[in-house]
Amino acid sequence: MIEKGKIGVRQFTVLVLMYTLGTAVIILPSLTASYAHANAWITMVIAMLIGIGIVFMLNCVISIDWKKNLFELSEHILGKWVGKAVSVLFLTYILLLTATNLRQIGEFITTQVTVETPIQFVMFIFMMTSLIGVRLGLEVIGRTSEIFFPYAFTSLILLLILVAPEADFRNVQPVLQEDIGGTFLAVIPTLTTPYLELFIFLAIFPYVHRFKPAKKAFYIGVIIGSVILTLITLMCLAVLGPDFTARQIFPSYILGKKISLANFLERIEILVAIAWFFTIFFKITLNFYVLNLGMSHFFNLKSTKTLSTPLAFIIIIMGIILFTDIIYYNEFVAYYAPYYSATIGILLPMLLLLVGFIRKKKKKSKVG
Amino acid sequence: MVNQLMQKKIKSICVIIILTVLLSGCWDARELSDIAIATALGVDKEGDQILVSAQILNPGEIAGNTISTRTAVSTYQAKGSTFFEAIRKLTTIAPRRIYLAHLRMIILGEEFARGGVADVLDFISRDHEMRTDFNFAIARENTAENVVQVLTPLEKIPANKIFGNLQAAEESWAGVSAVKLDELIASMTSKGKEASVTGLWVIGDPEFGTQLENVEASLSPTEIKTDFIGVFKNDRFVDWLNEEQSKTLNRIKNKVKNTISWVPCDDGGKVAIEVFKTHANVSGSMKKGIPKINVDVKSEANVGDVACALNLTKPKELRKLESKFEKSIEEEMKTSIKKIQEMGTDVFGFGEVIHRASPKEWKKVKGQWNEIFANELEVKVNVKIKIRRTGTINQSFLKEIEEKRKQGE
Repeated sequence: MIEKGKIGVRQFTVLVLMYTLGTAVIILPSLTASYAHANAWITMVIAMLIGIGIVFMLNCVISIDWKKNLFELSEHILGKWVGKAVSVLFLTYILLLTATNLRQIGEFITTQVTVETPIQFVMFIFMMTSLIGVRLGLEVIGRTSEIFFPYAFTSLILLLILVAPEADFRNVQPVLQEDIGGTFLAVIPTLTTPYLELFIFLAIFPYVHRFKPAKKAFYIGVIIGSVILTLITLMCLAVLGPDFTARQIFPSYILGKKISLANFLERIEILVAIAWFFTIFFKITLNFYVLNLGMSHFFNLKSTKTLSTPLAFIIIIMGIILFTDIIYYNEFVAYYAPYYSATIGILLPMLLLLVGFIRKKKKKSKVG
Repeated sequence: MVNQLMQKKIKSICVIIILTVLLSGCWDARELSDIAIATALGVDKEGDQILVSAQILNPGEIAGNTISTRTAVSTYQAKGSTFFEAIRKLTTIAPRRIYLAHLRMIILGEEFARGGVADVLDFISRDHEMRTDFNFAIARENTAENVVQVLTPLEKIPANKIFGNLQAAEESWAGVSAVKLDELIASMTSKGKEASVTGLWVIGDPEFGTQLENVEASLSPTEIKTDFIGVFKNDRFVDWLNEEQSKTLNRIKNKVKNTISWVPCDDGGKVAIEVFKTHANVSGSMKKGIPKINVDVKSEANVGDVACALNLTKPKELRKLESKFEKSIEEEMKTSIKKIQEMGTDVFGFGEVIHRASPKEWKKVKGQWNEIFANELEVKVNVKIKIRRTGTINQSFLKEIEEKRKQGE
């Protein structure tokens, strides 16, 4: 085994939760509202239900042999060569995903927070932090997530509570009367982030202390994350209105700007940014970690650290050249990413499950 | 061994130096002395160009202890083909770059507002420095530049005076409404609602208002007054509501916190009440293509001002007074709604009520809602008033004075 560290079940839950919130908390409200309008929160609920189904499927895959991570598993089930080929598909996807996430946090900071700082700089600093995390290993990542989780979580809950007085629920009425097509259609891009990206946890599973509670933790993390996502979408709709939400690029940040308690507690939208910094940091770090892990398996290296530094720089460059502009990026997320993610996040794990199941049966019949 | 330790030390020093350079976080730091804080923006049209007048704070005048003869704010103006260009062009005359995050008011000239304000709103919601917590107002029968330039007493910063003025008048007078960016855009884009923005009057000579002399007098010859509400059709300003209509609009939009209204007494004179709690419930329905709206207003009030011989010791009298007020307010609201219907713009948002109540029927009419609102919509108004208290005294002494006068005759 390349990774010798172990993480606890609670750390695993926190990581799943942070990963679910990651990019979704700041981009999903606008994405869903632009298709589903006032019903965007229903889209989120539907996506959550399907997401739980995806988690169930992933849990089945890892149950084939939970001592092996995603890459070992694919070689184990599909044989050395096909397995390696499938690993390459996983790895390219994770590479692109990490670069995209890095670009997202860069875009956010350069449009909303520090406008004149070059995006390359923001991305560089974020990636370096992740690099340090990966070089220190999974155990450290797990522990850090436990430390930072309360900050991210309280910021989001505070946002929900403080903005509640501004909510006008007439904005979300009539419920499910219009744009019904859009409501269901929007589920597809909503699934992409975060649910179709959850397969990367198949690579983390073997390093969790106990397997059975970890399976449950996977559900808990995803469900809590989805509920927060749904509530934030609902608040965006109720406070800003569906139209205004759809027009914003980062609506939950604008939601933070609406906080105004007694003309005193104001201008604290950076609360949202803090929550997002933490969640997306762990998303990038986990993606990057799994990428390193997979690469080491692919090239038969001894340590996850070997390729980490060059990979970090490749990701920074990729993040810059992947998307020419923000409109191209939005189109990619809404129209093209779902198919790619569905192939990697559902089809491939299904393939593993199916082949693994058939092999098990064959083995049994042979023994019998 | 020693060598290794040295190496480690050198390494960590290098890291610290790199970190201080990278993490200082002052890439685009701008000190207070480098920025010009804009508190109000006035937007006018000049030919096919946009004229922006920015009211800039003069920090030394506000924070300093020394009294000088300079004004607390200065106005800079620039013209441009677009709003954004005009704002950037301000730097050609202002000594510093304009900083917009502390903006309190955006004032639209009436002429400009008649021509449509959507382009300006787009920049305002696109720019990252702009927040959403400032108010909009229209310069009534005037240009925005004139309003922006008027100096005000009591509040050194005129924008703050207008902002506070709006807040206070909204809370205790109810004839104005403080509208913020998201509400404005939401009502301009909604098919069942039109926007409404408060008006600003310049009383007196606007030219004189720009001079420091204006604030040196106890009664400033030139003042800014907030009153009445202007209504929009799409993004174009159409007409002004009068006082009753403005109040009615605010009542229906549930924006009334505190207001007064009066009725004549039976034997001459007037009695006024202070309404301190108002809740309007607007419900609607659409059956067989006929839209109907029901407005239920429930208010609680105190007797505030009795200028006639009124017996306030009997509950019966109070009930009579209540129904009198109910009728008067109902009448006022009904005629106001009729008048606004004639204007043909649904500032109440009745369309949205119909939309929520019967979404299927709404689909058929949403294209021509403003015509239906003007011609076919039936609005029923029902007012309930509960008078709770009579202030610090019960019976008015006016009765005694009246009797004494009669005896004298």
